[in-house]
Amino acid sequence: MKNRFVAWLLCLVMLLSVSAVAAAEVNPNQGLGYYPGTSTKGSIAVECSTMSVMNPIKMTYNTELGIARHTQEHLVRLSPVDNQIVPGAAESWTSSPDGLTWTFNLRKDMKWVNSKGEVVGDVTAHDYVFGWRELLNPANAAEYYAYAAVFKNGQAYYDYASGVPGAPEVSIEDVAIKAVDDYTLVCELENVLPYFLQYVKFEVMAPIYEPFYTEVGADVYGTSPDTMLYCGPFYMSDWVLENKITTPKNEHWYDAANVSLGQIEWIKYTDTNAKMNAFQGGEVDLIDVTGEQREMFAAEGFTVSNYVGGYSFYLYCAIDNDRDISNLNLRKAISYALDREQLINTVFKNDSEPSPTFALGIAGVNTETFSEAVLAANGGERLYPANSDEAKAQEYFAKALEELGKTADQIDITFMVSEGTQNELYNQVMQEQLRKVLGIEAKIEVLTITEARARRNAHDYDLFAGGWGPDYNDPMTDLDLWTTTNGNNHTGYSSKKYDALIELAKVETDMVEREQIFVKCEKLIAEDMPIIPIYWRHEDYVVSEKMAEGYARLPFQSYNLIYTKLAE
Amino acid sequence: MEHIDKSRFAHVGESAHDREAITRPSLTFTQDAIRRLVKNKVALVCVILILALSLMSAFAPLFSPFDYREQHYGHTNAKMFTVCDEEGTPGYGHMHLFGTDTLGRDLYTRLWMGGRVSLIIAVSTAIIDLILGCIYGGISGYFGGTLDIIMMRILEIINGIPYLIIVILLMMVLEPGMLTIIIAYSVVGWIPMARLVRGQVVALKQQEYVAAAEAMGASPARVIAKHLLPNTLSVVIVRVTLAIPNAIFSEAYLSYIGLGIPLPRCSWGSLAQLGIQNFRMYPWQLLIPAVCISLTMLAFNMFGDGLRDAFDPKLRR
Amino acid sequence: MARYIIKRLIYAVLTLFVLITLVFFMMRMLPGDPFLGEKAISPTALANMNAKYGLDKPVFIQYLMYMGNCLTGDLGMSITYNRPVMEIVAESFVVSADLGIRALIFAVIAGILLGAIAAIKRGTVVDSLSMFVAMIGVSVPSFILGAVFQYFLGLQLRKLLGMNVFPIQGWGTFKHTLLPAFALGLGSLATVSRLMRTSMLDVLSSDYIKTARSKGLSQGQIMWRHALRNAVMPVVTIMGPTVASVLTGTFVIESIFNIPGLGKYFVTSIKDLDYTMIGGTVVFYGALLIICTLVVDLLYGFIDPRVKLEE
Repeated sequence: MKNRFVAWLLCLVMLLSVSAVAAAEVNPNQGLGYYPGTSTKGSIAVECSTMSVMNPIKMTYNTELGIARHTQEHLVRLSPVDNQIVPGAAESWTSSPDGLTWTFNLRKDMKWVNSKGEVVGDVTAHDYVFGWRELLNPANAAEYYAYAAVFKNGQAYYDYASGVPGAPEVSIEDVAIKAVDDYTLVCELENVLPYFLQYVKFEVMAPIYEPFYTEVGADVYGTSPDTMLYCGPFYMSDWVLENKITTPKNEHWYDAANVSLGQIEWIKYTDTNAKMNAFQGGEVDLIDVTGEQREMFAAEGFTVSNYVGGYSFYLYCAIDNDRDISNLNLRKAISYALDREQLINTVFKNDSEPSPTFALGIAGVNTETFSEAVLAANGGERLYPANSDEAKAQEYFAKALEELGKTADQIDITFMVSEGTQNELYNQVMQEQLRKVLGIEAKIEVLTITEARARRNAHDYDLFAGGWGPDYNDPMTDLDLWTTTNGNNHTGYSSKKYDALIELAKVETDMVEREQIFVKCEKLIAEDMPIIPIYWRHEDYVVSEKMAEGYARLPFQSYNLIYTKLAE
Repeated sequence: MEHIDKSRFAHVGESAHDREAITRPSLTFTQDAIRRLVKNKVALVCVILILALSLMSAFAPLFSPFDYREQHYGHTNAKMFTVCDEEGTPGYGHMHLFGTDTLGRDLYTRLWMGGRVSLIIAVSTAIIDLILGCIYGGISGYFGGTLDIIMMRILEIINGIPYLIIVILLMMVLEPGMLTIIIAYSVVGWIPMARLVRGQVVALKQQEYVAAAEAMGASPARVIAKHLLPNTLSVVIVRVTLAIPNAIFSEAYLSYIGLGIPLPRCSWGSLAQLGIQNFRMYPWQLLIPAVCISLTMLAFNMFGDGLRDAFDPKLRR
Repeated sequence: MARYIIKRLIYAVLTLFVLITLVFFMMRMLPGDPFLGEKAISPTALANMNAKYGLDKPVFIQYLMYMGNCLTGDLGMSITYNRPVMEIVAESFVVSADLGIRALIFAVIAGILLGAIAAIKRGTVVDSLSMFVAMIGVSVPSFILGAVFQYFLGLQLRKLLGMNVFPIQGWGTFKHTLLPAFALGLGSLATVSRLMRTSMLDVLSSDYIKTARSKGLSQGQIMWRHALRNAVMPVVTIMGPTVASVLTGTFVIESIFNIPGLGKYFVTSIKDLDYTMIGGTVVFYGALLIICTLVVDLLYGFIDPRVKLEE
């Protein structure tokens, strides 16, 4: 057992190193002289999206997590060069042979600073213990509490403290997170978790300085720059809600000597023209661009960068009721009728790929990506066609019509769409493709995002375009979505076979065998089609010539600007 | 003084009939208004323009070789006057007069399809505005006192409820479509009109002619309809013409949040909104619907001025 | 007069009360759940969230609690931002009001002047020209106007002159307010000038202007003392709600120019189903609207001697 686990870990390390393909970016437009960027010396301005909460334990959005990556120091970090786990606050760590007990040795030179960049105190192991305990405190209602529930008694404490009927009494002291001394943190897990370090790097697992926290109050902590403390490479000095966050360099960060950036401004844009104008006018240094804008930059000879965040997009199908869409052959007909490549060329006009398989951004055991392993097992055939296959679509459609006892124009399908121009365009292309190939008059229903989510969760829709990004580098992050009990399975798909495969994968320790189980899962999805995979997203962005190199945009770290080097 | 021979004059006698005869034709208020309107060249041109836009919207899509929802993947964001060279598509060999949109749909066809939606919504909401606003404002202003205060407070309450909430709730009970949009706009659209009419009536009811009408026993309904409202007409017409673009743009806004015309149908407002996304690269995608909206606006405004000149009793000569 | 004002104030409180009540129950009918995110949330966490914001109690109890808190001036904590609603509204209103006042001053002064001049010079080139300007303001929606201003006056002018004339986006300095105030004001300017021209024409054809003329008053005196004052009535009527809505900002202009104003919260709070924030914006906007209409009604009496404030 002992040896097997070590083998397991070794495999995991190998697996992670195989995925080491990316390098920190070097600006492709260096020296072109088109867009010199912002004029403030030593500072950059970057586009970001939602930033409503900065208290790490209450964060949910990508940008919030991205900013926390720059202002807080987690036990481990991801490298901007190869996306690997590297030491953060913990200089070193060890795990017990059974993989359950982890000991982290913290650096001794870390300081808490306030919104003026002044030292307030030392960062110690107690701060991590406190932060993780607060994550588990039901009074905070943290959405990501589950990250701290992996510790022994974590979930039990959460249930008890939430007042779940029948939950046995557990005190917070019983949760196995302990500071042995100021700089040693020991924690014990409930179950073996091969990717535990990926959990520790997650931004909500930040430390909190207890004296300050209790002084300002849990509800107020992190609602403004002054009501929060920082221990990362940057600290927050100014925050205009829904508009701009300013994070100057933290001179007291342990590696400050290697940070050449003086300040980052995170600006929220809601208008695509506005950010384009701002970029070209030198008011922002990094923005995401649309397909049309990309074409415009390309025409000027300015290179647009792109990155894969690991997001796979697909259509949810509500299959557990008596709608037409619950007919398997109809779903297959739709999958073959859709021309994914054309859809990408029309709506996104970028390098996004038609999904050959579902999961994306995950490393394979013997192949570079997990997807390649799936394709290899399928004889090199894609599971989902890139172009419309009319013959096959018609074949399945004929079967579906027969089973449903309907004619093509009686088929009742509605795309549920959450508002947003691009969403609407995307769905209109699919609607038109279905009309052309199958003769289905599908409808489109546009809803606010909250209503769409509520109806999605209630399985009250036919087709709904959604996407999923991985939380950690293992096929499990994507594939356990479609088990019967997963909260993110909004399709009503419930297959004993599939559930059994996932359970098997959880205990299988042979990495190659384990991957083959996941391959079976992928094939089963294509067979039962609770979702219709559409595309793998590539995101386009432009960087002003001010940012020379050292920045990174990778899966699990949408922004890593810490070591950005500026052009002279 | 020169002497004039009496024989040059003849006594014609006295005819009661002739004496009372009205030499100029008798005109009712409406007849007179129409006569004055027809004399107004600018107003006439505007009527013709509105008619032309309406006719194009009604018939142009029928005769277009392209379908408004047909997507030409080879010609996304095509320039104006691009010839469709995709074999096997219905419009093969024909010209995309106004180019195509980001999904490769023929903009000429879509423009006139959108015109149907926008024009119908514009006119019908303007009429509803006019009717509701005049009645409510007239009653409130004329009777005054507590009734006025309460009626005006009701307006404030309706105005204070966020429009989006009203629209989303309406969306839950109504099917998306033209009628729903008209209802959604009308729920709040008439309020400025009511307020305006009420303001005018409050000022006007102190005038002598109102007192005279009341003294002669005119009913409140008659005083409001025949004496007060015609005198507020000039301001009312301006407001109606301003309500037309409001209606067109709120349709665009509604389509943005899902209560608009069901996709892939379109309106001028939604075409403009799609066009603005790419206006730096493909300015015509914005320009064409925007010009149509502005032309409609201009025509209705000038026509409104003509109407005002024609109907306003104060300007009658 | 005093009695009238007191009466109106009592009505104002009643109106606000009815408004809050209506909105409270309407927003609870909106579909969706504020805590449903992109990713699944465990039932326990969901229950904890609901408990935290008091959403686990019966709606009527929630209503009573909310009204009670409103009376003490507490609008609650925003669900989305975890901050007191009062604080968010206060912070962003300062920005919106700053921008709104500039836009209003521009719109009202320019609108009244344009309208009055157009009426006086009726049928001339001046008339057509000023009405053309008004027409642009009303027939081009703000999302186009804002984008076009930003591109041509912000970006292209900067490229042309090689200097920063108008900032493209953002907030902070006087320069930042120019383009958005202009774009925001142009819509109201159109309404004001159109109404002004019309009512000015009415006034100019009335008997007291003829009397004034025959008395031998100068043109300037006639315009200033008699015509303008009476013609401005419809403009004042429409100003009440306009002031309230312009001061509280608009979603479109704020989003184009990246201004941290209040306007966006009217939209986002409803989309996010942030109940406390919806309540807060409605209370604030409602109160402002009621005050503005009250002021307008009082102004009536001052401007137009024909109007008697009713007892």
